[in-house]
Amino acid sequence: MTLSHVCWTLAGGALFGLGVSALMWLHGRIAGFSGICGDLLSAGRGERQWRLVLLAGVLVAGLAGGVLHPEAFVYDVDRPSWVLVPAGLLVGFGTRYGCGCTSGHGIAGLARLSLRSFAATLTFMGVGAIVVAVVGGAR
Amino acid sequence: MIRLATFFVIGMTLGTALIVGSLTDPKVIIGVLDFAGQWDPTVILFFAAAVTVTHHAYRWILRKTKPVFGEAFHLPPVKRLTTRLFLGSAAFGVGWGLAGLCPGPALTTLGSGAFHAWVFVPSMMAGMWLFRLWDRRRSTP
Repeated sequence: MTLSHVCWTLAGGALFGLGVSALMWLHGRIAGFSGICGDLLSAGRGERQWRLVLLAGVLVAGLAGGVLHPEAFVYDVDRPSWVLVPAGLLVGFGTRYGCGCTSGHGIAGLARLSLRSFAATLTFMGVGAIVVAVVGGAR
Repeated sequence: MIRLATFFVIGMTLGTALIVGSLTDPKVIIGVLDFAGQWDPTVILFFAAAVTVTHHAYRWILRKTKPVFGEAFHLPPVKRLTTRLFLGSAAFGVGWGLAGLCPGPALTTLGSGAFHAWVFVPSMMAGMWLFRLWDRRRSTP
């Protein structure tokens, strides 16, 4: 791990924190991706609009990133492609059932010292570590 | 209009932050969970920076009576630890460790056009939809 990698990672984390904070300051909302996505399926029209606009911003950032820095999106891990389907289903179902994912619980929840978010973060990190121990690391 | 534009800018900020911090790289995600192999602390560094910034900002923001554009702060009402919280987070952990993708980085990667996100995100949305069906059936006797 190089010093430049550490600096970029910390800068990315700090920028993410600013985005999460801005969403609370301006709109009073927790920045949780699974909630924002999942509520698209259930929310009324006015509630759906801001979520779609926020997700459009995320997609445009990804589009720009894909053009400027495509190496950031390479799926270079020791996993068969079909795993993406059951993994996606579990992530979708689990984040809705557990009321949050890495952003909502792991960042916004820990930042407000929520006991539920601490428990959720420990659970998904612990279970994730067991899965990686069983199926193997990235390479 | 300005109100909606701020959502777009926040979305771009979050997506850019995930790219800059290399969280869109599944090797990095699997790496933080790989205690027996080559452990990679990148995710921990990213979290530490994000949580520190957000914690201090929230302390200032939540002292206010309401957000700039809204009537109230929307904070989760439930405080108790529930079985649901643990089971859901565990299911998420299984998928996360299998694929090395969570919702934020997956959505950002979808924008880049990378194939794996175009398989993962529709599956994730299907999982959310299945949860909704199941949850409705559960709550209507």
